Amino acid sequence: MLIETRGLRKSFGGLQVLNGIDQSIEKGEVVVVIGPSGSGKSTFLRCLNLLEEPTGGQVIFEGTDITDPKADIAKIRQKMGMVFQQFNLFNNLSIMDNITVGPIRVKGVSREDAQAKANELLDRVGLREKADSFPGELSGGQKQRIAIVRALAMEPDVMLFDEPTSALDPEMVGEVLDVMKALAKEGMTMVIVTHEMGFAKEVGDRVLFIDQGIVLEEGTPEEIFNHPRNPRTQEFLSKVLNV
Amino acid sequence: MGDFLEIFTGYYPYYLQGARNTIVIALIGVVGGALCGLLICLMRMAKGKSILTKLMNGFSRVYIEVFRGTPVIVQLWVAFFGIPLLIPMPAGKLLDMDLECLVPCLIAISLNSGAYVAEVFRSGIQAVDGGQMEAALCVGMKKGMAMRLIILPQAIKNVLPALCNEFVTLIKETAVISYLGVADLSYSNNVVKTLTYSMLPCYLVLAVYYFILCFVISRLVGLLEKRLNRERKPGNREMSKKAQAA
Repeated sequence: MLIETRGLRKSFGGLQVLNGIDQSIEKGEVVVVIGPSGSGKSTFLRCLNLLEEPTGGQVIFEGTDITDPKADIAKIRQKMGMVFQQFNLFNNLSIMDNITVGPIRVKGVSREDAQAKANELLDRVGLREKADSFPGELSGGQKQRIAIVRALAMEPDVMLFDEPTSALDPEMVGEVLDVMKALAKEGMTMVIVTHEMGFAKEVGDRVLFIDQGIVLEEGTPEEIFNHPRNPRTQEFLSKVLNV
Repeated sequence: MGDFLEIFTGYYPYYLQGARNTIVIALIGVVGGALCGLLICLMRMAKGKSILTKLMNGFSRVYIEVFRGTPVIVQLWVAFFGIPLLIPMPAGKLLDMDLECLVPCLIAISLNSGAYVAEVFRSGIQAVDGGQMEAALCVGMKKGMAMRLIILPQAIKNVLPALCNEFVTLIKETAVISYLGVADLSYSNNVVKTLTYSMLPCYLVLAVYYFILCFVISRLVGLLEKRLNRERKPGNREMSKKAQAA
C-alpha cells in the first residue's frame, strides 16, 4: 500500500469540505477521482501531499504518517509529483531550469545528470526543442506536458493530477492525456482528479465518485460508468455524459 | 534673470559636484533601503506560531510605524548624534564628503527608506501567483528555498520600477542632509549663496538641477517599465532572437 487515508477531514472555516475519507491506494494503481464541482475532490488530492493541511484524520504515505507534525514534509513531497490545473511552471526559469531546479537544488543531483535526464524526458513528450524557452512562450498543452516532466524529473513514487486538462483549449487536451496514458502504461501510480470521463474509463483501475466530502461510490470504470448504483452517481453521470 | 544666468553659467562646477554627490547618496540610500526593506518585509510576512515569528511580525510593524510616523530630519539628527555613540565612525572622505557625517546619514536614510520599501516588496511578493509557491513546495523545496529561487526573483521584477521611483524620491528627500553638513547638491547651493549673496537666483538654479535629475531618471524608469512589460509578453524573445540573426 502506497497511500492510505484514515478518516480524512478538512474544513475551511465553518465549511466542512471532507467528511472522513478512508482510502488506500496501491502501488501501480491508477485511481481516478470524479464528482461535481465543490464536492471536495481537489481538496482530497491536495490533502494527500499536505498542500492543504487536514483538520482531522491521517494520511499515511509509504508507512509514514505525514500528518504528524514531526514528519519531514519537504522530503516526502519529493516522492509525490504534482500537476496543477494552472500548470504553475516557474515563470522566472527556462524550461530546462524548471525541470532541473528540483533535482539539483533539492536532491543534490549534478547539473549534467539532471540535464541528461531532463532531455530524455523532454524527448518523451516531444518538446526537446523548447529547453531554452520560457513558460510564457509555450501553449497551454506544452506547459502542461512540461509540468508533468518537471514532476517526473524528481522520480516520484506517485503522481497527483489536479484537473490537468481543465484549463486547456479543447484541441490541446489530447496531447496531455496521451502523455498521461503512456505513464499509466509504464506502471506509474497515479491519482487523477478529472472531468475527462472517456479518459477515466480508459486508463482508470478504480474510480472514486466523491460528493459532499465523502466517497459515495467506488469501483472499476466498468462498474461506475456502466452500472452506477448510487442515485447521486447516476444523476451526475447522466449530466456529464449526455452533453 | 541676469543673476540667474550668471550663477547658472559661472558656478556650475559647484552644482555639478553637488549633483554627483546627491546621486551617490541616493544610490547608496536606495540599495541600503532595498536590503533593509526586504528584511523588514520578510519579517512582516513570516508565518507561524513560534515566538520568534511573532517577535519578527511585531518588530517589523513597530519599525514601519515609527519610521513613517516621524520626520526624516528628526531621524537624521538622532542618527547623527546617536550612531557614533554605538559604533565608532570612520575618519576620511568619500568623494569630498566627510565619512563622519555621511555614514550616520546614509544609515538613517537607508533605515527610513526601508520602512517604505518594505511595503513595496510586500505587494510585489503578493503579486506573484500563489501557484508558484505550491509548485515549488511540490518539487520538495522548503519555504525559504522556494522564496529565494522562485518567488523573490519574480517579486523583484515586479518592484523594480517602484524601486527606481524610490531612487527619485531619495534624490529630493536627501536635500535635508545639507543641514547636517554633508556636501550634497543643496550644500553646494549654500556655498554659492554665501559667495554671491543672491538668494532667489541660487534657489532657482538649485531647483533646475533637482528637476533635471529627477526628470531624466523618471524617464529612464518609464523606458525600463515598458521594456519589462514587453518582455513579459509571450513570443517576444523568439522575435528578438530572429532580429539578432537578421
